[in-house]
Amino acid sequence: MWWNWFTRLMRGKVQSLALGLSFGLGTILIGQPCVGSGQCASCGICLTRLPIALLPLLGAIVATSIHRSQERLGNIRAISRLTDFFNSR
Amino acid sequence: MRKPLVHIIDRIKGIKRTQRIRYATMALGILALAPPVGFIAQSFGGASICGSLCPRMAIGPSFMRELFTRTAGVALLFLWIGSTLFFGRWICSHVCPVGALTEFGSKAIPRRFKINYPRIFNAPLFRYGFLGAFILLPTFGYASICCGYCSFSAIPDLFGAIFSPGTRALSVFGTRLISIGLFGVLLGVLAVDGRGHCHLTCPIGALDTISNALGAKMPFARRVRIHLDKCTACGLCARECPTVAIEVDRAAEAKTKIDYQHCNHCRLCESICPTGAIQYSTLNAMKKEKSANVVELVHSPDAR
Repeated sequence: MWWNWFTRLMRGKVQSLALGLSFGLGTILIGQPCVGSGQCASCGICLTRLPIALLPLLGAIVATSIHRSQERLGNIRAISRLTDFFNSR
Repeated sequence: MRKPLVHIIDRIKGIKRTQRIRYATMALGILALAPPVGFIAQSFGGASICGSLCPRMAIGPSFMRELFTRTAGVALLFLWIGSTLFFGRWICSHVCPVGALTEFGSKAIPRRFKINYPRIFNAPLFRYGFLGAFILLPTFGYASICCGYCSFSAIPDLFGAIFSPGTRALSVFGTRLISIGLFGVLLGVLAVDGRGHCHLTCPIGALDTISNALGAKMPFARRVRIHLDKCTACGLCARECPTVAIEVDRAAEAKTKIDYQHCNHCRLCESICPTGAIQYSTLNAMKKEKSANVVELVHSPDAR
């Protein structure tokens, strides 16, 4: 499943370093329009850029949460059925 | 009414001494460096650690300029990193108001809703990546992180908003809400130890980690260390460590190891260890106790 793959991927050293770098670059580039002015000009550019910076982080959190609940609730029938459904695709 | 009060008192009584001291120093850190009191911050002309005391601004190519214009911030940065070399990350874990505020806030959230970031990512490397971006972009002519997207600004402001209508208006409206949601909620109170932003997006934390790992090898530097002849490798410390810094391998010679790149110096392991094997001590002091295992670990190439 994609979340298992993603969870394993995120634990890697290089991936964590790359993710931190991308998060830093994203966050800093988000701030670009405002730097120098000293205050928010309400241009909204950061709002459009923010998802790009946060996407890998949020993706990792969602994937790990699903992975963890799958591990914890693995025996519950509904989850098993759902997993079977996705595995059969 | 009486029952919950008794329950709270019992819970406070149940907290171990090292943790009680830590909570007290964290509260003092908030009083000194966060609104509404922030007596040290106010004496430097700001309301919180964000402002003339900001130690983050000095990281990167603007260091020389900051050295003269924001001397207090540069001094704080040197104090922070320098003291870590000798005493471990005590400012991060015991004083920093940014981490303390979200850690206290996270106590109100049930554990099942929380995210353990150090288990998802390799936290020190994520921090190094963030530090890399923090230094590289200004080096190539881009500006540094916008204060609106900095946890040092967002979290004290969020706390200050409780007391000040002006700050409340600033915090609740506009894009500021995003940084508060990110650092205060997602990486803050929803993190297992309330310190997701410390683990992942703190450039000072990244420098501090390097200093912590380097200092751990010095015989006179104080660190949380494991007395291997007392350790039974029960694994309790490894299970409870919020930063996933402890590794237990019963088959290895050094059964339990601390990774000082992960360790945040919260000393939780020390307070829960059933045999008292974990101590805040120097390598020299532990050698004096004639622990053969400690001596072997010092000379081992795997020693961390």
